[in-house]
Amino acid sequence: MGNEMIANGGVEYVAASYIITWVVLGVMLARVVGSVRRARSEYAQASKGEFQT
Amino acid sequence: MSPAPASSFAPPKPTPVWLGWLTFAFFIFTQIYAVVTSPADAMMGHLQKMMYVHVPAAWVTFAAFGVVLVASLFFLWKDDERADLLAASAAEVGSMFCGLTLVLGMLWGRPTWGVWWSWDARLTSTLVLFLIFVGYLALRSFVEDPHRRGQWSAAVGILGAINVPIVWMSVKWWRTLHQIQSNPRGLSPEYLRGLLLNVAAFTLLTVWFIWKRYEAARLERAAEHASQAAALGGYNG
Repeated sequence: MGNEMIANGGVEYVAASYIITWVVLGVMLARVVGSVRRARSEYAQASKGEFQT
Repeated sequence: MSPAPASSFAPPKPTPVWLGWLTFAFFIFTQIYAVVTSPADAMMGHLQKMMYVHVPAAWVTFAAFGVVLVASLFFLWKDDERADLLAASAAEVGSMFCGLTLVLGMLWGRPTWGVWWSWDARLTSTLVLFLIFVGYLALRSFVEDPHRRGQWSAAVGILGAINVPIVWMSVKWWRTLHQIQSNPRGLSPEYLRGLLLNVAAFTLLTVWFIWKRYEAARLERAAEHASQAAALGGYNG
């Protein structure tokens, strides 16, 4: 079965692997950029003494 | 328990924006270059192209956990909270790449081995590595005190990193379905160029992700410290 898939090129597996990689990296990018923005705004508020604990 | 030095609470310098743009532009270039220029392999066909995402993801997993190990040791030695925050940032990024490596390996395994998963030494030790660092991140969310959190997670980080050489050597120590590491000298130049470029691009991406997560963690600690100082100032005043 495996050899048949290789003979057929297995292009769908290659495409899936690249799509998953880009989606995961995109999510990570959004996560890190979002966390920096949130933390920067928290710090700006806290350093002005507006932060409520 | 000793108080963290004041420098731990200073906000970090922002990461250069151009570095992020350059990193992602280089990543997109290396991905396109590798896919377009590498011919279908005689044995693997086009499946060989999965090497340009699976191998670099595995490499940066090891590199990120190397950062966790060094930063954890430094934290225990110097008691500098910045090292703890760096270790946590690297663990988060490393866990993400470790999970990605496992998924990409399954996608490669299905057409080549005929199964999505096999409990062989390489796959199992990689799964254990992933679970150790998910546990590391879970532990950090349970412990409130920053100093204790740093100590406990440094211990887990150091013990967890011991698994990295086990993962690396597993294909040599045990008979596995997973092939042994390819020797770069044995690869044709048209495959090697794409692989090295993608390893470089994934490494840059990892450095950038860790740097940004570290920047966010430092800002969060600086904000906590500033709000505590403001509250104390108000109380004293």
